[in-house]
Amino acid sequence: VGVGKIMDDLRVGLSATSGSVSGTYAARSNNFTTAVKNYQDSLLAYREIVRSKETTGPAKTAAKKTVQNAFEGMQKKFQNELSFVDKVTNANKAKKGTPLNNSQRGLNIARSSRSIVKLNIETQIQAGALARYSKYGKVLGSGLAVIDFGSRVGNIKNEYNARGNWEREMFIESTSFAASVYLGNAVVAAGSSALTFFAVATPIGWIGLILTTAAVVMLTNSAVKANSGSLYDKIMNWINS
Amino acid sequence: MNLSILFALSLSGIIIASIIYVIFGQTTVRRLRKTPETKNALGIEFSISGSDIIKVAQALSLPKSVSQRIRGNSTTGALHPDPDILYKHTTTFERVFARVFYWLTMTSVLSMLLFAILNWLMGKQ
Repeated sequence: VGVGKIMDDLRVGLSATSGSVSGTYAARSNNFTTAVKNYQDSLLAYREIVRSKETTGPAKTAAKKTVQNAFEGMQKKFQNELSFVDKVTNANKAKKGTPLNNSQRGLNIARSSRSIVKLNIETQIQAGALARYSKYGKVLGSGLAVIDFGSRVGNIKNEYNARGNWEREMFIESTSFAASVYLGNAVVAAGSSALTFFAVATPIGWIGLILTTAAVVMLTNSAVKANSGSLYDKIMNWINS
Repeated sequence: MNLSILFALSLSGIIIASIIYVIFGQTTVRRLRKTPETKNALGIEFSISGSDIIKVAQALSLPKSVSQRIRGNSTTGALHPDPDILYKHTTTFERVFARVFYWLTMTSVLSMLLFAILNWLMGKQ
C-alpha cells in the first residue's frame, strides 16, 4: 500500500464527512443564537415592566433577575463566541460596554433609552461573521466534493491520454462517486436520528458517527471501484450481443 | 449467491433513488423551503447541501411517534424536521412518494454496504 493510495482513500472519506463535522458546529452556533435571543427577549420584557406605571417593585426586581440569569447563562456557555463577536463588531473598544458584554449596560439602556435599537442584539450577531459560519460549512463540504470529483476527472483524462478505454474508466469513476456520496449522505441522515435513541447524542456519539461514515464510505468506494469495471463489461456485452 | 448480482441490483437502486431524490427535492422540498410556516421546520442542514431532502423524507417515512421523538430530543432535535408541521403541509401523494424514495434509498444503500463488507471479507482470504 503506497502513500498515494492512503491519501486517495482519505480524500474520499473527507469529502463525505466534513459536512457532519461542520454540522456539529452549525448546531452549536444555532444554540448560541437562541441564547442571545433569550437575553434580548428578557431585556425587552424588562423594559416593558419598568416603563409601565402599574408595576410593583418586586415585579421589577424579578424581571431584572431574569435578565441577569439569561446574561450569565449566555456568558458561561458561549464565552468564545461572545469574545469573537466583540472583536468583530469592535464592541471591546466601546467605553461603556455593550449589552452583549455587560448586562448592567443592557439594563440601563432598557430603562432609560428612548430607542431600543441597541437592544436588538440578535441582528448584530447575525450580521457578524459567526452566523455566516454555517454557510461556510456547507461550502467546505461541497468544495471537498469538487476536489474529489476533480481528481476523478483527472483519472479519466489519464486513461484517455493513454489511449485506453476511457468510457469504461468514466463509468467506474462516476458510479463509485455517486454511490459513495449518496451512501455517506444516507448513513449520516439515518445515523444522526439513531443517535437519539441510543442516548449518545453527545460529541463522542458524533465522532463515532463521523468515523463510521468515513470508514463505510471508503470501503464502499473501493468496492464499487473494484467491481463496476466488470459490470460495465457485462452491460456492453449484453448490448452488443 | 453470485455477489455481482447484489452489486448490480444495489447500484441500480442507488441510481434510481438518486433520480427520485432530485424529483422529490425539486417539487415537495422546494415548496416547503419557500413556505414561511415550514421554512424553519426543516432542520438545520448539516451535511452537503440537499441533505434536508433526505431528512424530510425520513420524517415522513418513519412512524410519526418515532419522528416526533427524534425532533423532541433536546440536543439534536433541531437538526431534524418537525413531523407535525410537515404532515400539515404535504398531501397524501407526496407522503407516499417520500416513503417510496426513503425506503428505496435505505434498502439500496444498506445492500450496497452489505456488498462492500462481503467484498472486503472475500478479498482478505
